[in-house]
Amino acid sequence: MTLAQLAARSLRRLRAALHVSAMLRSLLCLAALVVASTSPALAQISLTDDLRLDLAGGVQPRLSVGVEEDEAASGDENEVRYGFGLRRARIQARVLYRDIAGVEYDVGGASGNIESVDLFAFANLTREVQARVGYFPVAQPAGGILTPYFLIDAVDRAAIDERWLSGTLGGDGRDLGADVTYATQNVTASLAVHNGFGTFQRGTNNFREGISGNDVVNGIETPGLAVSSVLTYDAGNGIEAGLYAGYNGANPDRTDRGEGGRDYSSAGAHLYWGEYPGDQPFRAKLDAIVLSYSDDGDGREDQVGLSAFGAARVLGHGEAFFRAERYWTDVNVEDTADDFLTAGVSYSPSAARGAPYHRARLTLAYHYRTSALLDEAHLVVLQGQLAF
Amino acid sequence: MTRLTLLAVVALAMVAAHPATAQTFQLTDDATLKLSGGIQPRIGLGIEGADDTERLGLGLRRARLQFRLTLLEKAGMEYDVDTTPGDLRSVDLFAFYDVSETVQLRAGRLPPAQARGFVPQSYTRIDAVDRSPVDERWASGTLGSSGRDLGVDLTAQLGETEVQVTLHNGTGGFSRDTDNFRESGSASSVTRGADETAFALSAAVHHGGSSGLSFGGFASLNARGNDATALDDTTRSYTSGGAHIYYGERPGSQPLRLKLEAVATQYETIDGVQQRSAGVGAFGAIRAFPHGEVFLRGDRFWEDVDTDGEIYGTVGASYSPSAALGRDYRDLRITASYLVRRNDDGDIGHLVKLQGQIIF
Repeated sequence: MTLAQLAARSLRRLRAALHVSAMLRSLLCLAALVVASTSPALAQISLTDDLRLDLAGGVQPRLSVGVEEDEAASGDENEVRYGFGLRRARIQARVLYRDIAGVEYDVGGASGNIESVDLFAFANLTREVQARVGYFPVAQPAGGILTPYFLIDAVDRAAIDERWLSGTLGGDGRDLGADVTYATQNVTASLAVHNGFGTFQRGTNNFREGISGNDVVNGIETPGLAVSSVLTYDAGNGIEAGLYAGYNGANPDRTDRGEGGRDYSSAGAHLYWGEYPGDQPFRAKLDAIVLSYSDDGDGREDQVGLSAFGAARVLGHGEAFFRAERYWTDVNVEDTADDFLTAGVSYSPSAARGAPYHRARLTLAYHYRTSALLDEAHLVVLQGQLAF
Repeated sequence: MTRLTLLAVVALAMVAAHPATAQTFQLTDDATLKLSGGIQPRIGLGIEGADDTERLGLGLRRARLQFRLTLLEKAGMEYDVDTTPGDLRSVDLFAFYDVSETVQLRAGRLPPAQARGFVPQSYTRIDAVDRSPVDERWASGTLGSSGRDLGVDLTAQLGETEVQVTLHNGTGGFSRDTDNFRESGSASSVTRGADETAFALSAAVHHGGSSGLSFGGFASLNARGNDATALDDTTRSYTSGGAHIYYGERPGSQPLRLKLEAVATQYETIDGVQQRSAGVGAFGAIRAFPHGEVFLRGDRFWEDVDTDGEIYGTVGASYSPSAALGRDYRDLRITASYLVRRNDDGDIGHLVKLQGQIIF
């Protein structure tokens, strides 16, 4: 099936599955007003002559309509859900000492509890070299957490990156460890050594025991650590290319399919022309990911993901975008590919005022998934964003 | 003697404290960040007749921080957190936009239109130490005790009349399974297993003025239902309404205050069973001494109108050291109250509370 056929089929399916009522259209219009006519802000507070506090944050309320088709049913058995949601609500505090060193602490509240997101100390060793230690987004594919949440192309990150994260470090894409980053005007190279579980759990990842405890290990024995690295090159004119490679010897729980956690090695590559929303009139992005799990007795498992994204500027300060992706959950087994299509449009009232595109933004996106193992699915999301 | 000493220590600490003020940071020419909050420590003595138990203890009713970022004096985000569970919990979390000088739009987790005596009565301006039992019981059977939900709403100030209309999920929580719909296209189920297409719509009106007399009402249709409305594990939709008339809404606002309110809820019929609940409450307060007031409240709530219901009585007094310093009554306040409850089956419960309050 060609991509065009896939797109046409998905739209036909959506029309059949979903009857968008007049009330829903009104809802979409109402939600669209939330981010209209806003302007950017940037918070910097001098604490002393040597200390500066940078505050940042953002909120992403959304309205979603999801349809899970039930292809086995003869009647109207589709699973349909409407609802409001909060994708993210973040506050970031960054304390800097003379631009030499500092601490960054990000919290998120969209789950109902205030949860740590990033939490690390950093030191600028030279003008080009920075070291970090703590809980932070380690080197990973470019479309993952290294793309800031307020600069996501659509309403969510690429499906192949989300799938890769769910099989490696987990959805938050952070881990406890240390890294060193070398950055010049054109080249960025980063190397991280980290625990490999991607959580705050004391039993597996956050090793912080004291000698007064009954058990100074108090958790699993360590089978190995994880090493991750990225290299990117900015060729100018909006063109960027990069590579990622990593190995995780910690056998994290997330990789367990019944026989225990597995080691994995992974690699990725990207080629971007216009990395972030609103950067330039036309944008194109290609991403590839390979993830290979070691044999746990039930054979190897090799996953591959490919993604292509394009956007064109419309409405003066908006863009229309389209993304097509395929993710093979095991290339050694036939019919394990999931296909994802995303189409939508974003508009930035802040860009209309000459401010950054991400400060105030409204995005409408339609997602379609077809799979050998799962039923077809449709998801329409209208998301507002305020970021400061 | 020990109990009295504890009460005296808390009272003394409150009286000796100095009022603080909200902090506003000018971030840029067009952006401000306002930081405010409050804390309500208390001592309580409870005697439960149903199981003949007593409990004396210190507690923290609320400890709140509120961050409010405003851009161009028109839009922004508000984030309230509460620390009393021992960790940090989100309370309000929404984006707002002033459509005009009199109309504001909000989206996120917010208090929908509801009974005036519940969340619309700010935690800083509660008449006694807790909100009216009628309102607390109403909330526990509708949206849940937080009184918040994910949705969008519009509030218009038309002269002395405020009108609020909210379209919301109707579930009141943060669970991704039932409340916070935020799935992505790569999820194995874009609906997260939920088959749910109903919303809730709520509206409230409140007319107030400089005379101290205010009145209004609310109506709510929740087509979805939630755990708070469940009967035998089956969530029920409901319609609810209420009315209020106040003479002096806020503590310390005038020498004599009177408040009347009523709420009623009708739930969806399940297996031939239809529940209707109702509640009425009356409150009065007089400025019996400078910068303080003595109050009395009586409430009755029928969880099912076919039963006798529960009766609640509250009597107490509050004093505001901040008002004595010429500041707002709520900034520093100490409140002592005695509450008694008679259950439908005749069991009696008693509760004595001494609560301090510091708001900044």
